[in-house]
Amino acid sequence: MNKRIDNKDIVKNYIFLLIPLVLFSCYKNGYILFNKNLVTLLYVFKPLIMFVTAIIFAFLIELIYSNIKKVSIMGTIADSYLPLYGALFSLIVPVNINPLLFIFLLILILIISKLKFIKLNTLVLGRILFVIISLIIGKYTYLNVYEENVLVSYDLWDIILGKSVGASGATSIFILTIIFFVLITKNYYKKEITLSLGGTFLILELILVLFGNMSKLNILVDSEVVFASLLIAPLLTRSPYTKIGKISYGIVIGLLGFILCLFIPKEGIYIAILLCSIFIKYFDLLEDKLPKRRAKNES
Amino acid sequence: MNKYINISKNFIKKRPKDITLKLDSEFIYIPLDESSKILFNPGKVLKKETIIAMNNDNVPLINPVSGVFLGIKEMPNFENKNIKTLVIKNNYKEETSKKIASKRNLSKYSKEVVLLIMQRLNIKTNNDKSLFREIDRNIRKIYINALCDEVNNYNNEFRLLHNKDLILETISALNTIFDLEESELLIKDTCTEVISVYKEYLGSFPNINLRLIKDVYPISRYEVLQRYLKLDSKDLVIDLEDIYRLGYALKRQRFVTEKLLTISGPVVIDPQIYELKIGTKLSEILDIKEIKEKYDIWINNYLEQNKLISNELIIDNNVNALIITDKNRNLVKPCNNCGICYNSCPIGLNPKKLDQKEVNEKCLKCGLCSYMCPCNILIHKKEGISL
Repeated sequence: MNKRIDNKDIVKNYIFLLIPLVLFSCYKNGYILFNKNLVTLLYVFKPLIMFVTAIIFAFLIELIYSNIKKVSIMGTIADSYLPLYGALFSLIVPVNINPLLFIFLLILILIISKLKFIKLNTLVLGRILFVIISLIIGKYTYLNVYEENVLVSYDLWDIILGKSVGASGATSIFILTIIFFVLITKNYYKKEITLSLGGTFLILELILVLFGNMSKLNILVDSEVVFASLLIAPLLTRSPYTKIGKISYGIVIGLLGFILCLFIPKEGIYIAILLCSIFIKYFDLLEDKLPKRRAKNES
Repeated sequence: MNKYINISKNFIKKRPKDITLKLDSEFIYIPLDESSKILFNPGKVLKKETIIAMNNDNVPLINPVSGVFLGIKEMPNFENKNIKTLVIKNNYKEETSKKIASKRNLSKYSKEVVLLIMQRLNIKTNNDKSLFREIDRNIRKIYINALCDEVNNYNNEFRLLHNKDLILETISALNTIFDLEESELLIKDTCTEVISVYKEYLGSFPNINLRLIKDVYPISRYEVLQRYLKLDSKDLVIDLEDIYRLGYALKRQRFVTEKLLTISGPVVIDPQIYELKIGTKLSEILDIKEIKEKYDIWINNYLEQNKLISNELIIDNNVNALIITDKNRNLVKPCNNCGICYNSCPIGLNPKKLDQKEVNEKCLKCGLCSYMCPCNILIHKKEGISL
């Protein structure tokens, strides 16, 4: 068929959209540090190297998979979602991650993603594994070399423009917002999840503010939450597809994520996504349980 | 609100230059309903337009040529199913028992007569042949559906251009007969030639409006059109071809025995539009054996993915176009749960639940979900890897 859109177009579009995040990460976690003589020139490009490595490994895994399964290599590679998973994974881990740990986790999540019976959001699984391993080895931090050496205090503008502490590609709310506005024009982007998740967070924040706890206001402008809401929760293959499923999925992640974020900042939203992704199938089944969608069409 | 999808820009359009007449078929095959009662025995010589069989709804089956009734034979139809057909051997005499007559003013017909003719012609309004009985009460407007979903099917365009007088006269007469203020002729906004011609002619028919409809898929289906134009049960939609058949019957007091067939597609160098006898066997106009080796041939609509298998296909009123395309080489991949099919369904169904009877019955089988699927799954045919 003369297709309107193909898997490879979707992956390609996503990866192109992620490039500004990678470049910004090179600036924030590399160039600024290089100017202060804290890192080498090669380190400036570490986010980009991680990004490219992840995509290359994704192709290698597909190559091995197609050899094992004896299926067409070109057909498998051209339509694979693994490069997207790899690219996103390189952005949800901190830039100071141990390269060996990064490669290990990357291969692990790529292999798990190929297993059809596991329907979890594997990217989040990778992030949680990173947190657990980092905690075990005592190196759990999202601070880059500069942030580790100085006492940083970011105001709202710093946070929005991307100077906040966070994973490699998850610091600039400004760039993420632009990406969101591009993605909502695409028919494959599950914007209902993002909007319902964001809406739930906003309502809960307002409730919290009304009860006088202003200190928690920063949850809404946490770039990790924005990144997860925009790119990880609505992950194409690992989220519900029905309208009711998508909205309820976003709301539940929002509720659960907000509560968890109060206790585990940065990781709460990811834990919520991981837990909800176990029940993706059931969110879609809600459509049958609730009144028919687009009821006017039934006339 | 569904977002309507324009697919035509994704396809190469090949427009035939003019109509080619192919009215000399040796054999004619008339599809037979299960309920039809055959009125003649094999061996009988029949005149053209003889009623050869009658079904339970009193809809007659018309013999489109004069010739010998040979008997019953199973032949493939547009769904590639073998159906019973009445076989007539053409004697090329075109003998008819009726004199050629012409009624000057169609508005003089009574409502009852028009309704009876509509029933005899099996004309469907709002996709339901029984609805025409209600045409005489509470009708607000008649919409003439001259839209076509297949971008390379030019039947309606040629019909509009070649039979404009009869079509406009019939619509105008229907307005008078049924006391309607006006009717609307629905044409795609991309049919520029038709639009310019009709703009000149419609000045003489103040009770007919030309309504330009966006070229979105599958707008010609009643269910989609109903939502798009926000129609209710007081609005009647009648297909252009039915208006032509009705007008022909009213004007000449005869049945239409010919039909148009477009043969086109992105790979066709010289697209054709044929006028041929209803019931002609495909092999009499086209040998598909060689074409099938290199290309795919689709019946009526590429997106519906109804592939032509047999050279023996009977071209009845359900076959309007043959679309020839390159062989489909897209690999089918497992469903990625993207939900594009769900978002693109023009009537808001969940294509992944087509195995449920309730959903399957409502499905238009338009094929938009399959076309939009990035994994190349033939969702509407329930083919490919399990969803």
